[in-house]
Amino acid sequence: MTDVPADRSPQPTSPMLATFTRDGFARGFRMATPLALSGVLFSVAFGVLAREAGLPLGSTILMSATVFAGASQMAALDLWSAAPPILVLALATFAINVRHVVMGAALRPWFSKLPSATAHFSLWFMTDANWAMSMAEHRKGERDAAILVGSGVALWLGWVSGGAVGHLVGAALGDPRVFAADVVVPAFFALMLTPLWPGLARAWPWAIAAGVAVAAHTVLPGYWHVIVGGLAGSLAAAWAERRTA
Amino acid sequence: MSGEMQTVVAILVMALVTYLTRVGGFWLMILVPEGGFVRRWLHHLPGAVIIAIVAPMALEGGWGAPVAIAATVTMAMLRRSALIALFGAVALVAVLRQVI
Repeated sequence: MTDVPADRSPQPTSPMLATFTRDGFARGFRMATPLALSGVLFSVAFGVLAREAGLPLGSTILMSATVFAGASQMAALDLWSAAPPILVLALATFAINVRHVVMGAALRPWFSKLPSATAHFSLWFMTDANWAMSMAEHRKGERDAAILVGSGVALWLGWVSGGAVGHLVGAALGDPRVFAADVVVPAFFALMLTPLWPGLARAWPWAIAAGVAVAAHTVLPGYWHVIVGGLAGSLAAAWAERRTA
Repeated sequence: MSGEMQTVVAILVMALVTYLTRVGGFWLMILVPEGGFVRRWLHHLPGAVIIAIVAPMALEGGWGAPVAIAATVTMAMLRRSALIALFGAVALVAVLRQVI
């Protein structure tokens, strides 16, 4: 990882500044390590299921390493066969991962200050958890974009190695609920919300986002509820500020 | 196409589609003028998206997730480190599940 100063203008305190350093990478890696470790249980489960679906070890590792998006990979296993249906898989993958579009849009003001190649390389590692973490850190003043890559690499290592272990070990692993591993993910996202809390008076868009997401979750497949809820809450908040501005 | 070949192609197509979703939003924002409304919208987007991820999770699968969320947020507000908040909450749920 080389240091790439993205913004050469002499404004170290500018809110639009973006840097990309080894330090930022290490910070992101450290912060995501606990989640990567607890997420191993989910990746092991993926490995077990991939084996049951008839995916060879090499293909399981290839999928985890190149797709790196858990929910869509789990969904793909349901559609898997000796001759996997490529178009159906592509559509299912898109439907589940299209929420990334909204996340990438939110990164634009920060990451557009990076060299284009650096930004495109970094976005390869963007997934829900490290995107949420990076946005939360950005709100606290972080400007080093390598935090997304460092945290992404930590999650990627856990995801790929856990999948391989699950494939090798099989189902002899017991119930992850005993260790409460199933609550790590909601607790993690709740933790990422705390620096974004807008205060009680301005929290109503969050209620809209939550209500719309819960309602949409009951009728829409995949992760569309994230897009619908996220857009509803954020657009309502932006619209309300325009009226008062 | 042999089955093995088709497996590799299917995986690489999934990888390509997923990468396009990752850069798609970044690209689309080139078309959107960075005016006041868009800036405010992007400012509110992370909180709204994360709450949209969390809310359905909190309502699924019993009391474990809501208890973990409440414990994490409480400890985070008491300015414990993020790591302590997260693992403290998960340990609490693990212990409660043994007791109850």
